[in-house]
Amino acid sequence: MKRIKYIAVITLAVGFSACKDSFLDTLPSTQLVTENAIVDMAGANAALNGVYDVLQRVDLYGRDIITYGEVRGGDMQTVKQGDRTLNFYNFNNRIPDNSPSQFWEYPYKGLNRVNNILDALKQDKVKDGSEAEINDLTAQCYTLRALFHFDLVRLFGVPYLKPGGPQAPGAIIADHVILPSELLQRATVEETYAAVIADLNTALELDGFSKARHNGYINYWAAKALLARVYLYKGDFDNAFTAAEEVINSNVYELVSNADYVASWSEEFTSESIFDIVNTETDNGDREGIGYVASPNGYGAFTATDAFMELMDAAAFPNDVRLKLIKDDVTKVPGFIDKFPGRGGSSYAYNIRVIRLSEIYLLAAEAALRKTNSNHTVASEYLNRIRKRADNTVDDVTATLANIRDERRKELISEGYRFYDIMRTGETVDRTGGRNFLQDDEVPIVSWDRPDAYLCVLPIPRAEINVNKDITPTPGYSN
Amino acid sequence: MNKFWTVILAMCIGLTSVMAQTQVSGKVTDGETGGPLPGVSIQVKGTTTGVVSDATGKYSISAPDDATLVFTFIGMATQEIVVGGRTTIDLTMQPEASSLEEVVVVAYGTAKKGTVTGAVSVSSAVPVLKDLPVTSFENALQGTVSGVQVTSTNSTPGGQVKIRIRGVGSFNASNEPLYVVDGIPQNSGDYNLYNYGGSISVMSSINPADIENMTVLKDAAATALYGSRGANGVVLITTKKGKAGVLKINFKGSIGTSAFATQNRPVVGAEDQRMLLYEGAYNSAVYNGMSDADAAIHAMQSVNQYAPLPSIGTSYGDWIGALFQEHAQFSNYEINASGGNDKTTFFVSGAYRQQMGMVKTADFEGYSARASITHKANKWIVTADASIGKVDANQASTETNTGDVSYANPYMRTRTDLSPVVPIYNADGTFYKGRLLSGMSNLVEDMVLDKEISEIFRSNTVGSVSYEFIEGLRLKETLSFDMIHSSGKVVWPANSDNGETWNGLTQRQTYTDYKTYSSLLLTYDKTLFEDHTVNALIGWDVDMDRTISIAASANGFASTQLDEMGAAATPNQAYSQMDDDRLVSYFARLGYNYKSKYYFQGTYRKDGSSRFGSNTRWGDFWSVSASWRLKEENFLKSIQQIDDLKLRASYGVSGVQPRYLYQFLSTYDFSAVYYNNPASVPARVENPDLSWERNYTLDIGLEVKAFERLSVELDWYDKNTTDLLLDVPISYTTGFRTTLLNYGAMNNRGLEATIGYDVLKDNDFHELTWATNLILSHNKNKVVTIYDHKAYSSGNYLIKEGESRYSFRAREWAGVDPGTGDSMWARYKDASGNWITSSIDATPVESTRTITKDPDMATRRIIGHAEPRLTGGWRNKLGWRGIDLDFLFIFSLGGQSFDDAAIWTASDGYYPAYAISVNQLDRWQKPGDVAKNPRRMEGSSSYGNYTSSRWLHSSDYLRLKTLTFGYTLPQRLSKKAKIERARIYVAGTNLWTYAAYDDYDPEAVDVDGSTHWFIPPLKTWLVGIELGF
Repeated sequence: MKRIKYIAVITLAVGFSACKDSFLDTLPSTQLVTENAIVDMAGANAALNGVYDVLQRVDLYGRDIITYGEVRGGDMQTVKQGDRTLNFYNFNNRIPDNSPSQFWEYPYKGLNRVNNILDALKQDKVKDGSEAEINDLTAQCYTLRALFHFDLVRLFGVPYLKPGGPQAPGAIIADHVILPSELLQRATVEETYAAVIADLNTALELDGFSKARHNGYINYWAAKALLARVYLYKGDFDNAFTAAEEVINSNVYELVSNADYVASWSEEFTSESIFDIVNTETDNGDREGIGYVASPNGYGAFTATDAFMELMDAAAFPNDVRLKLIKDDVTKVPGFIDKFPGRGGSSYAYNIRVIRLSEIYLLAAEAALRKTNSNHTVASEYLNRIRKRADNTVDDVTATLANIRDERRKELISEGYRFYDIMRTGETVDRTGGRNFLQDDEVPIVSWDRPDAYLCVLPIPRAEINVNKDITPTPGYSN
Repeated sequence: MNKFWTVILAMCIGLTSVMAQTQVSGKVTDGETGGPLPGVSIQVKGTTTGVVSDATGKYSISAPDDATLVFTFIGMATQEIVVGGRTTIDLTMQPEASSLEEVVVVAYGTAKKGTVTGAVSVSSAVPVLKDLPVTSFENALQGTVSGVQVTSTNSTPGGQVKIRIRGVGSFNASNEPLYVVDGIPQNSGDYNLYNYGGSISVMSSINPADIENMTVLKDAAATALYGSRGANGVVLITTKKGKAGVLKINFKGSIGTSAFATQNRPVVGAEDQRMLLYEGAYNSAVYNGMSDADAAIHAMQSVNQYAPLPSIGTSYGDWIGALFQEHAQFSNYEINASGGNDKTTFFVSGAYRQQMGMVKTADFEGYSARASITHKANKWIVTADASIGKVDANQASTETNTGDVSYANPYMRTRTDLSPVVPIYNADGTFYKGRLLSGMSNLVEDMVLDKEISEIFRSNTVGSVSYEFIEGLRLKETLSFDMIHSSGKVVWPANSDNGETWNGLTQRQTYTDYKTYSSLLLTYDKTLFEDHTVNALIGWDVDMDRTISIAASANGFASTQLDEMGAAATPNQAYSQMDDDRLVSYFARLGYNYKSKYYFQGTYRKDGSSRFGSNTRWGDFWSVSASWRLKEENFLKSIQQIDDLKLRASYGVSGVQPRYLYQFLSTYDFSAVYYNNPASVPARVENPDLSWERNYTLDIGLEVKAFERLSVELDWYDKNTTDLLLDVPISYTTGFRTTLLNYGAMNNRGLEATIGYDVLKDNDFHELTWATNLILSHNKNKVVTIYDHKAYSSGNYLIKEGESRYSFRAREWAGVDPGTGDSMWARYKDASGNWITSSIDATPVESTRTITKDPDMATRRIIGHAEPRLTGGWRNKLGWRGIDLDFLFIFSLGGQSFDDAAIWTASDGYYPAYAISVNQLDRWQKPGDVAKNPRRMEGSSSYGNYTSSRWLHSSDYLRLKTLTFGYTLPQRLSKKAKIERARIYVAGTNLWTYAAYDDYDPEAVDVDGSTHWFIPPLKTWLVGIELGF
C-alpha cells in the first residue's frame, strides 16, 4: 500500500517538473524568426528572391501591371463582359472601394521585403559575403525599391508632365521597415520621382553591382535602363538619353535578329533581355498568369483592337515579322498577341520582359528628339534599327515623335506600355472604334485633359483610407 | 403502491413487530434491453442487509415478510417493493431518464444531475442515433439540445458540420466547441486534404452507434475546467461500455437512398435562355441608341454568340443529369458484442458504412472497430479502450489551382457557365471543348478521367488505472494516443483536359496528427457529519499534438494506366512541414453541499499554451456556482404536484486560443520560390503580447419537475468575450493588411428552454406512450468593442459596435420601376444633409429616403442580420406495445441569408454566357409590368451585379428533420428463432421542408448567413433490421 502512495507521489512530481516552461517553446518548421532570417548570404539571397517573388505575382508583373497598361489604351481591349481585364478596361475605379488594391498592396509588400534586407545589411548582420557580393545585393535592393516606388507613382500619381503633376500627391515613401504605428503621408509626385532617382543613383554608384548579364535579376544595366525610363516619364530627356545610350553602348545586349524574332518569345532569355521576370514550369501564375489570361486557348481576356490592326496595316507591310505574333483570338478575329507562349511544353513557363533592349532603343530615339539639343540623326538611327529589324524591306525614315510613338505601339504591344505612354505624353486616344463595347460612362476617350481624366489615376484603396484616415486623396476622388 | 397492501402492511406493523424471515429470490431485468441486469443492489430497507444480483440478474435475499426491498442500480430508477410474504419477486428496472438522480457526464467525471450547478444538457437524439443515416454524429445535436446551432452546409458524404453553442464569440479564433470523448479532448474539424468543395469531418471516424451518451456543457461552471478550450462549449461523448451478464450480440443492417432535400437553384432551359438572351441584347441595343431593326439583328447575333442552336449531330447539354445522380444509395452494417462478470466487462463492435455521393463519381466508405474492457479488482479499476476507423472517399474531381476552386465544382458550374446551351459532346462523340466553355474545362470529361481520392485512418488507444486509497479518495491516470492519418491523391491522366499540359500529373499529400494526452486526477467524494458532502478534484494534464504533412507531385506518365509517381518522368513538387502544439494544465474543483439543499462549486484551471510567447502563455480560468434545491425546503416538501425545483447560478471565465500556431512571432516564411531558387518572405508583424481571448459568462437557470410528467429547464445567460483575437487592419505600407491583436469585445445574451411532457404514460390510454419535448433557443449577438471603435465593412458585412456580428451591408433595393423596368435603390441623407453612398460612418436619416436609379448613388447600410431570433426542435416519441415512433421537427425564425451567388445566376443579363435562374423569368417586359426583376439588359448596361437587399432572403424554415418508425417482434415469436430481440424499422431525414425562401436549401445557409456552392442537404430514406442474440 505504501508503495502505491510513493508511486503516486513520484508520478505527480515527475509530471509537474516535466512541464517546465521550455516545454511550451515550439517553433515553426518552415519559417525562421525574422531576426534570424537574414544572417548570411544564403538568407539574404533567399530574402531577395522573396522580393522578386512579389514582382512575379499576377497582381503585379505576372499579369495586372501589364494588362492595366494595355486595355486602358487604344491598342488592346477586353473581349467580353466578365473577363479578368474588364475593370481596367472600363475604368471601374470611381470610388476608393473599387480601386484595384493590389497595385497599392503588393508594391508595399515588396518594399517591406527590400527594407528588411537593407536593415539587416545596415546592421552588419550578414557576415559571410564579400564586399562585392554585399554591394551587388544592396544595389539590387535599391533598384527594386526604386521600381516599386516608380510603379506606385505612375499608378496613383498624376502624370509628371501634366500641368500641376509634380505637386500632386504621389506615393508614400517607404525607405525603411514601416511599423503599424507609423501612419505616413503621401509625398508629392515630384518627391517620389526624386526618391526613385536617388535610389537608382545609390545603386549605380555601388562597386560590385554586376555589369554582366544576370538573367532573371536586376544588374547595373537594368538599373540604368530603369533610370532612363524614369527620366523619360519625368521629362528629363537629357538624362534619359544619356542613360539609355549607356545601356545601348554597353554592348552587353543586342537586338534579336529578324530571323530569331518570333522564336525568341518562346525562349527563356533573349539577347535583348535586360530584366525578365521568370516563370518556370513549377513556379508560375498558372491559369491566372498573363499567358493563360491572354491565350485563346485560355481565357482570351484581352486582344488587339481594330485600331492596332490598322496601324500594322498588313496589306501595306506584309513582311513585318511582328505580324507573325498576331493570331486569331477567341472570337476568330485576328488580334491575340502571342508574346507569352511558354517554353519546353509548359504553357505557363514564360518570362515577362520587363525591360528589353528594343524599348531602350525607342526610348533613346524619343529622348534624342526631345532633349535640349534635339538629335534627329541619332533618333532616326535608333528608330530605324527597330523598324528594319522587323521588316528589312522598308526604307529609312526620319524620326518624328509620331512615328516613334507608332513604333513603340507596334514593337511593345501586349507588354504593358501603351496606357502609361498615353499618360506620360498627354495624348488623346479614342477607344470607340471597332469591337469595343464601352459605354459613355466608361472613359471611351482616354486623355489627361477630359473631365473624367481623374479616372486615369487610381484612388487610394478603401482599406488604406480606413486605417490612414488623413491620407490625401488622389485628385478627383474623395475618401 | 397498491392501497390494499398498504393497509395490510399498516395492520401488520400495528399487530406485531416480529415477523418471520423469508428467503426471497427473483430475477432483475433491464427494461431497456429486455436482458438480465447484473450488479443491482438489493437491500432490506432500514437495515444493512443487502445482496447484489448475479450475472444472470438473479438474486436471493433473506428478509422479513413485512420488509421493503430497495432495488438500486446506477442509471436506473430506484424501486421499493414490499415483500408481503412473497418468495419470488421478479422486477424490471427502468432507465432513470426523468429523474434528478440521473447521472450526467461532466468535466473530468460524472455527477448526479441534481447536484450539478452548471448548465448541462443531454442530447435526446442518442436513442435514435443508431437508426439514422448520419455519417457523423454531430448532426444529431441539431434540434435536440437548447443553445446549440448546427449547420451542415456541405452534404458531401462525411462532410463537416459547424456547431455553435450560444452564438458566435470570436472573429478569428475558432467558434467550434471542444469535443471530449471518454474524457479525452479531441482534435476535430475537416481532415480532407484537397479542400475544393469536399470535406471530411474527422468525427465521421467515430461510429454513431457506439455512442452511449452525448452531453453539452454550456456555462462557465460546466466548461471552465476545460480552461482555454472551453469557451465555445464542450460536447462530451461517452461511448458504450460492456455490461456484466451473459454474452449479448447485436446486429444491425440498413439500406437506403438519398436525394436532394429541396430544389437547388434551378435554371431555365436552353430555349428560355435563348429567349432571355435575345431580350437582354435587344433592350441593351435599343438603350444604347440602335434602331429597332438594328437592335433585332444585334440581339440575334448575341444569341448566336452566347447560345447558338446545337450544330448538326450535337444537342443541348444536360449537365446536371450528366454530373449528378437522382438517387444515391447507402448502406450501414454493424455488429457488437458485450458481456462479462462483476469484475470484468467488455464491449466490442465493428461497423461498415457505404454511401454514394450525389455527384456521380463521389462515394464514401467507412469502417470502424472498437474494443473496450473494464476490470475491477479490490480498489483498482483498469480500463483499456482501442478503436480504429477508416474512411475512404472518392471526391468530385478537382483542380489543384487554389486560386480558383470553382473549375471542378459541379454544383457551381451547372448553375453558372455550364448552362444547357453548352453541349457536352461533339457530333463525333468526343468531349466538347469549344468556345462556349470560355476556356474552362469540360467537367464531364474531368469527372470521368480525373480522380480525387481521400483516405483517413484513425487509431485511438486509451488506457486508465485508478486506485482508491481510502473511501472516496481515488487517484486516476489516463493515457491516450490518437493517430489520425489523412492521405489524399489527385490524378490528372495525360488524356484529360487538366492532365494534358503535364502529360499526366499525380499529386499526393499526407497529413498525420499524433496526439498524446495524459491526465492525472485525484478525486475525493465524501459525506461528512451526515449533512455536509464535499467532493474535490485536483489534477494536471498534458496535451501534445504533433502534425506532419508531406506533399509530392510528379508528371510525365508514359501510360494512363499508371498513376503513382514511381512511374512518372519528372518530379515537380515536394513539401513537408511539422508542427508541435502543446498545452499543459493544472486544475482543481471543489464542491460542497449542505443537506442536498444548497450546493456550491468552484473550479480553477491554469493553462500554458505553446501558441503564445513567454510573456503571455499562462492563463487563469475559473468559475463559481451555486444551486438551491427549493424542493428540499419545508415549504415545498408538502406540495406534491412539484416533484423538484432547483435554482442555479454561475459565473466564470474560460478562454480561447488563437486558431493558428506561432502568431506571436515575426517570422520569415521559406515556402516561396523564385526562378528555381528558395525565396523567403516575411510572414507577419511581430506581436509578443498576443494573448488569450477571455469569455466571461453569467448563467441563471431554473429546473422544475411537476405532476410526474412535466419537466422544464430554463436558462438565461450573458456571455462577454473580451480581448478578442482581431485581425486589426494596418496600413498596407507595412507590407501587411492586418495584424492579430487582442482587442475588442463581443456579447452573446440568450434564453434557452427545454420542456418535456409525458402526454401518455403508465397505461394512461391502453399501452400507448407519448413523450414530447420542445427545445427553444434565442441568442442575440452584439459586437461591443472593435478596434478604434471604427465600423468597417468585411465582405458583405458591416462590423459595427452595437450591431450583430453578421450584419449585412448593401444597397437597399427599391424594386422595379413599372414604367421603365429600371432597377431602383434607396438613397438617404445624413444629419447634415449630405447624400450617403458608401460611407460607413454616416447614419441615414429615414425621412430623407428617395429613390435613385444609379446604384453608385444608392446608400449602403445595414439591411439585415444572419442570426435567427429563435431556433429549436420539437421531438415526439410514441410507443405502443412493440411499435415505436420518433420524429423531430426543427425550425429557425427571424434570420436572413444573403445570396452572393445571385450576381451570377440572376444577373439580369450582365453575364450573357451564364445559366439563368428560373426566378429571372418574372421580369419587366413592357410599361406597366409589375415584376420582381428589372428589364433585362445584356452586359454592362445591366446593374445585375450590383449587390443590394434584393439578394437578402428570410432564412426561416420548418423541417421534419428525422423520423424513425420501428416494430419489435414479440419475444415469444423471436425466441422461436433463437433471437432475443428483433426489430425492423424505417427511418428518414429531411423528409419535409417548408422554407420562406426556397431557391436553395435553408440548411445550406451558413452560420454567417452566406450561401455556398457545397453539395446541399439530402433527403434520405432507409429500412433496417436489428437483431439481438
